[in-house]
Amino acid sequence: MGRLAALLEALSDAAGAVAAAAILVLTLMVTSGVAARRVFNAPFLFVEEVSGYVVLAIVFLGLAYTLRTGGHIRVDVVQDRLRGRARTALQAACLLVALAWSGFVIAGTWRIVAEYYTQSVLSFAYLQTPLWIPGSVMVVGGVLLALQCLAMLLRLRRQCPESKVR
Amino acid sequence: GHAQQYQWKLQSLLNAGHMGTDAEIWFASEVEKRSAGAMKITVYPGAALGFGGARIMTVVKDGLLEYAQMWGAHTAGELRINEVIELPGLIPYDLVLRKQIVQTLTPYWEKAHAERNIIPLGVAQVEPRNIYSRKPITSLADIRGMKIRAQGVVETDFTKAIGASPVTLSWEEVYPALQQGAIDGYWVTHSATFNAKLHEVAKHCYEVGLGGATWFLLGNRRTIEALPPELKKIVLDTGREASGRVWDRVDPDIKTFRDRLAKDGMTFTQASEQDMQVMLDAAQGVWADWTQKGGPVAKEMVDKIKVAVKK
Amino acid sequence: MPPLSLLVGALAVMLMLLTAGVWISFAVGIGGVLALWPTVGVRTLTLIGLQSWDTTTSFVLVAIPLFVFMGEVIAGAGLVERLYAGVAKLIRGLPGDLVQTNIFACSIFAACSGSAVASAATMGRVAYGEQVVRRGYSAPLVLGSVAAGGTLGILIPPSIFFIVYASISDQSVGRLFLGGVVPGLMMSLAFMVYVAARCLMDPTLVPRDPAARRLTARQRLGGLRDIWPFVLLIVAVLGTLYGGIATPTEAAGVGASAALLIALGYRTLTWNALATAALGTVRTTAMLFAVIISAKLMAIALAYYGVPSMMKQFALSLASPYLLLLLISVIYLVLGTVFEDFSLMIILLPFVLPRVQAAGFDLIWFGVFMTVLLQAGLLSPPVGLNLFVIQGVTGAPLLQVIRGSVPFLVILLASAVLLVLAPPLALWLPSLAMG
Ligand code: NA
Ligand code: NA
Repeated sequence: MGRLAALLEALSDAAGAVAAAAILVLTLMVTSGVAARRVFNAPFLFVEEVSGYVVLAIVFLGLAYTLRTGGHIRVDVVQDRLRGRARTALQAACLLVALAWSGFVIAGTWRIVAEYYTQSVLSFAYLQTPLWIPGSVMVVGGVLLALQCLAMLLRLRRQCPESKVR
Repeated sequence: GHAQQYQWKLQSLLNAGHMGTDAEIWFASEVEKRSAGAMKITVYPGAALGFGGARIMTVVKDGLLEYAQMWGAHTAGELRINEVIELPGLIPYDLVLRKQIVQTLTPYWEKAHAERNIIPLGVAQVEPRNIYSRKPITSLADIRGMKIRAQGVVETDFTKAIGASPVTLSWEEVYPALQQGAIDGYWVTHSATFNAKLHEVAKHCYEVGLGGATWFLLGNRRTIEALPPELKKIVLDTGREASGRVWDRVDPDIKTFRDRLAKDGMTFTQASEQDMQVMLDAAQGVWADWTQKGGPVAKEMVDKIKVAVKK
Repeated sequence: MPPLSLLVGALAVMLMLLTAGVWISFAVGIGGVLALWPTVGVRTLTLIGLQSWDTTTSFVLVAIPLFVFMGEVIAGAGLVERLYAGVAKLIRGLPGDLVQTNIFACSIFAACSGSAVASAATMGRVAYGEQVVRRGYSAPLVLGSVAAGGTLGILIPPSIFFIVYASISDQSVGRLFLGGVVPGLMMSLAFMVYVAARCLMDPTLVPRDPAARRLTARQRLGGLRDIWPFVLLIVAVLGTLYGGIATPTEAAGVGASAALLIALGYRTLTWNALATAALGTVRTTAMLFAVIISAKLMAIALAYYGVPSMMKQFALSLASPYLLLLLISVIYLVLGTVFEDFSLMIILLPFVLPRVQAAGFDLIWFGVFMTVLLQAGLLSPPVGLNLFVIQGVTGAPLLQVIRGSVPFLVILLASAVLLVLAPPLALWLPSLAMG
């Protein structure tokens, strides 16, 4: 069980690392877009469209990593006052709610992406990207979030500490 | 009167005051009046329900909105024929001809939308588009190398074809970008320029009067089909009349907003016949590309348009 | 229209989940689902998918991760400590001594970061160790000054809140940024005056340090050496934004690149620091967008229950537009005690804006006004994000942080009132610069 949790956590970390790399890509892309237009008078027509997809990737690949590292904010006044079993039970309940929400995110984004795919929807911008390609990152992100919730539930059950964040 | 039986939502992307949105507000109140209160439609102008333009067909198809405003180019990635009449130069600015062509093409749109559980209750083409710029444009030669904000694939390709350098930029960023000189000009209409106060930063208009956005009033098909015959007739008839109201606004709006812009100091340059011809020649390639990507139905529609224009 | 009791039930469940400690974006999302499902059924899923797509692919919001990254690079490369040291040299010896440094340095850092959290966290860590632990300053005063100084990050441009507000209200980001400048500087001055007055009345709060007064003019000016990179960064962002080079989103990219170059120049940009900054940006970005998506879902739910038209009826029944403003503020501040402030604002804005505009208020002005309220929300207990952040990085008791923040909270609310009495505070600079 501990090993499964560690594996799931490694997945969250890996996705977080990809999202972090995407931040650098985004910075470079937007900056070079400015340079192309101002300095070389040759605007990049893809920057506006692609930077949207990159932010989508940062957000959805980062969801699980953010949950794992405590980046999603919450009010823990009540939890902090509880001890022992009551506290564990409440934490488990919170994780189940989070799991439910990830389920909705997976189902909702899947619905949109399936439509993008079956209707061959293209972007309205210049590249005319088939939208299911960037769209499917949302589904992946939802699944990663669900798996991270699962990992945290496993840890709670075994009362064993998390694996170290890389 | 009847008791209220139906309560629906209509989202307009643009604010009240725009001819499309005004026609929709009229549509809603008229449907309620004609049904003696049995059908009530609440209008949410300015995209107040938070549904963006590009995904509006999905929203209506699912019945999350029973009615909605849609613009052709926004949704061309999903259904290319939504923007066919916008191809620059394909249809000259002649309202009678434009109306007649839209009527001829309506069965194609109805069929494609029916497959998506949608009825296009009204279709019309709003004002043609011009180039508005910081520096005066007196001829096509001045455009060469200018950074012009274009929207969508067709306009971007066309901008390139006439020698300018197209820039993609979201609508909200056009004002600051012009003001700071990050772009030299943009494609749009007199009314949109005036309403977004863009004439504060772009003082010149190169009047080419090409294309024009396609306005659609969509209805959820299942909702409308399920109505008793007399109520269904009211919805369909009123939708058709709403498009009439849009058509009727095109000429007056061009005049009104041109006057307002001129009063605020905008200068207008009519493109010379020679330059217009150069642009039409450049447009041929854009039409060909578009038709090739659009498949057989798109080709059929373009051919019908060409026949109608020749007559 | 579905019965309102369903909506009330969904909101009650959501509040329960929030209290139980469910992550805010998930609790609000579940609340939205509970409210929507009885009315639109399984199509609720379409709404979730659409909001996820539309929110994350919006080009205007691309500025959010970039402005956050800019601040994270500065903080991750250890440049905030340098800023703190430089400002300390420059202005030491004022009544309140190093506490003034906290506010002054927070104001400068605010101009180099889009959010309120990065500056509060970094400055809080530095200041607590140096001032409370080492020098025995009054803990509440120090904690309050960094918690409040941190809130300036969303009022002094660049500001991610202004970017979100601009996208909801269709206003110019450039104008909003300029609108925040004068109120932001005024507020930072008010904070400093308050600290000085407190310390003059009660000298035990900040033990006297004779060394502070012995600094020569030359030593003081040496502080500028540590500050100029920040000036450079501010010029890079605002210069590209207002100097005719780039749009706000692009200026954010230029700012992030400039921050990287400055950190490279100082040779403090290790791989480790870069990774920390990028990962920190991922966390803030994912958290913010998750909140925005859920809040927009909830906003749609409210619309399906006809809440906007109810609000319209109600607003029309009010005698004065100022009553409307007062009401909005009170609702916001009351809900803001239990709700997370940022998500609350996103939920409320679409419904409030048409009323505010109809009542004759300028939407740029209202954006600045709402930002000041949001700042107050960040400091107001029990749910105040900056209170948690400061508690988290310093380890001080939450009550001590709250006690120290209350006077600053009062100053923030007084500023909001001043803004109502004198709208040009927010509007003069944008109209001067942009016509
Ligand atoms: Na800031
Ligand atoms: Na609060």
